[in-house]
Amino acid sequence: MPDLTLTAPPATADLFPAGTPAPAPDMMAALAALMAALQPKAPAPAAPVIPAPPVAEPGPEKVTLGTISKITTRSKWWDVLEACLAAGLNRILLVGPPGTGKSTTADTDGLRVTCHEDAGPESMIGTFIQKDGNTVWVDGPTSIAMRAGKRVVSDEFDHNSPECLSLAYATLDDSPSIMLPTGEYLVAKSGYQLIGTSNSSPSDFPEAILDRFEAIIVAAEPHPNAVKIVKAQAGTKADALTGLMNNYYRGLNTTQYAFRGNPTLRKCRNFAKLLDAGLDENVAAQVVFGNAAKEILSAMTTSSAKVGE
Amino acid sequence: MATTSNLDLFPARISDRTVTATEAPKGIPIAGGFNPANDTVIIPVADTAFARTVRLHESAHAIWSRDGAKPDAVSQACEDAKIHMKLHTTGSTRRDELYTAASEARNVAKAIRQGRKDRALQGLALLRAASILLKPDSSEPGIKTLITTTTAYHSQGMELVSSILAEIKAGNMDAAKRLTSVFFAGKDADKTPDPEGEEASDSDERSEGEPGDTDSDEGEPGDTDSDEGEPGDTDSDEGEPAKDSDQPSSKPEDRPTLSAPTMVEIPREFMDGKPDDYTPEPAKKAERAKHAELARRDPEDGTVTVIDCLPEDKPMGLAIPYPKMYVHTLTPNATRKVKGKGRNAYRSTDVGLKIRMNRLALNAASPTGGARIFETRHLGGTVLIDASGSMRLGDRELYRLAEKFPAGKVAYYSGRVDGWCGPFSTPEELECGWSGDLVIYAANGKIRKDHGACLPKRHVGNLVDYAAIIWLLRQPAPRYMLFDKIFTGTSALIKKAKTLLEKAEAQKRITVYRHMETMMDEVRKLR
Repeated sequence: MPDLTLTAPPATADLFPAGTPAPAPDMMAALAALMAALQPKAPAPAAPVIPAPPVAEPGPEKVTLGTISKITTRSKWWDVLEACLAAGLNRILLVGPPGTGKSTTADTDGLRVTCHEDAGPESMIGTFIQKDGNTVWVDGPTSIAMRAGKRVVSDEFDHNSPECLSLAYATLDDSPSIMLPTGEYLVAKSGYQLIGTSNSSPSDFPEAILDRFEAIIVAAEPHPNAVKIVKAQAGTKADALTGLMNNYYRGLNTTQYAFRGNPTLRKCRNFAKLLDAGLDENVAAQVVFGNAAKEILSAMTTSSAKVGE
Repeated sequence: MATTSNLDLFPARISDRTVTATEAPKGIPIAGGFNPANDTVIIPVADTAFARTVRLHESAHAIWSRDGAKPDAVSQACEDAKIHMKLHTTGSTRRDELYTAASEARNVAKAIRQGRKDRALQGLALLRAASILLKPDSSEPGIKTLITTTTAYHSQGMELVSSILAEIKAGNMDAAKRLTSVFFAGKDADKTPDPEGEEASDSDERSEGEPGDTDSDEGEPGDTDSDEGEPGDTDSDEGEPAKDSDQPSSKPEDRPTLSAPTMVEIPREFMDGKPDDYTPEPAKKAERAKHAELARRDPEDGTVTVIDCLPEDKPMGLAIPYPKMYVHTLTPNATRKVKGKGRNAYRSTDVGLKIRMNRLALNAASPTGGARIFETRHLGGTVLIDASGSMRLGDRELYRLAEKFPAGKVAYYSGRVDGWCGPFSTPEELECGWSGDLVIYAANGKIRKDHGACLPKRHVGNLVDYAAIIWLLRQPAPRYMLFDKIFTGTSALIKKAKTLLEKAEAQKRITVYRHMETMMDEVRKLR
């Protein structure tokens, strides 16, 4: 029997207690390889975790005059808003529960006024301030928007103070114009838009104000861009969380935002404008006349009929 | 914000004259009507497809049917068909119209299945539905219902209907009426009778709009309008003759021919949520009545009887049902005895005696020789109390009064409108829109068990004064009434109730007290 020197790895040594004949070296090597294979593998050194960039979901497609006819009564409120803007309506009221993205959606030019009961007209049109020892006039968001032909968002429109509401008659008029305390007569430039948002029923508004809004859209579900942010931040719970949120908004009672528009001069003109732009008559009637839409459409069937016809 | 209601918007539907619209009263069997004599309409004001279509229908009558009312169903049917053929509806208005037409056809199918006799009314509804549905943009289920029902109504129904519509379109109203007469009469077309002698509105058939007609909830507008539509009148230039009709779908050869079915097939596409379990109507009616009575009764009630008043109000010729009054009697196991307090407790009879043991010997040993035990008389008769809100009566007051009339009858009454104190439960109430309850609170020495703060079946209005006075006059005398003489209800009903009460007072059949305290004082004197 040859003189052997055990060169087996220490891990295998205790497999052969004292007095046991030692196996051949090639066997030892094979056994060592087998044991090594059986050993649990050590974890690989941790590589730096680089989070995968969130997959960009396509946002809502922009509605243009070319695609306006695709808008139906089942379309989402943001599409209807785009359609109304594309059709040339400039004064729109968005109503709906809090947190559906009304203001964020409407705010494209960064000009926002938050209405409240104590606010004076200066919060809208601007005020005189002291600057470098002089008294200078600073435009408010509404004045800036009128001067530059931009969009101003008037948040919580239902909370307007009486003074601001009086001013709103002018800013919502067909040709908006106001007299500034500086003596300047400011006429809105083309492109000026006013979008009001509110969480309360439009029926609470004065009739003249409601008549001046060219379209009233009920925004009762969250805007997809806002949902995307929630999804990106919620990780593995994204689906459950967004599902819960959508279910909540779906279950909300939106009848409180209902209104009935009368067939006034302004309303009829706005309806005609929307029809002229190619918007579906049911959608147009809905945003202009609200709950009276079907009645108005039905009444139109006979409103021009003559006895001899 | 002041918003315009559908009622206010109605005049905007008519271009060249102002039509006054009023809401169709509850309980009448029709949905709407137009009176050309004074340009008034009654219309439903709801925001439903059916109500919108009725408003459209009446506005079309206001425009095209101004030649006065027509008494017979044939003229009415032709007029209805004519105006719907003139109307060019689109979009949601067309959908509303289609829905209503399909519903009407379905309801006629139901009426045929139930073997109802109002044939002229069924024919009118079918012809109107056909004038709406037989257009190129109609929905298939609606047309299928129409074909099936029309074939069940008349063996040559579709051929006749197509011909009638073609004649109307061509402006031949006389021919259309002749065919309509045949259609209504149920005879074969080849046995076309004398046009003047075969009106469908036979004496045994009710004309449109009469009480109890077919499916009054679905609203066969009982128009009091409709012109004759003579040839050469204003609508005669409408369209081409029948053979050039633009209604290809209305031609009989385009339709599947169906034999008259024993059971009319009813598609469910237009069902408005009510499952049709095909229970025979009498059984269904009996079951409804049973449930209604059970719903109406309290555990304390023995029986519930109904006092009804005959309708006499007829605005625009329509009868408005008067409210029914439900009389709730007592059951023995739901009562307790009326008692006084302590030793002054007395028995609940109007005539009797009470022997007091401590005075028995004294009474028996009377110096005059006879026992001094006398009968005492308690008040009996009937007391009726107006329990409406204006009287402000509580449980305690009623109990005090019941004590004074231990052997008499004490009852209170009040009325309600649907929605007050909860929704109505019985079909009669729903049909009428208002009702009342008269509850016998105490009788024969028994009184209803305590109900806490709230008396059972007590509402806030009067409404059933007339029925309550009738009930009181049928009760044993003397009769007392606690009533502030504030009558409510329709003017005719108030007038009747006032007259009856004044007469009864004059004849001393009823004594009326306006206030509880006055009544109690008088009662004390009487005792």
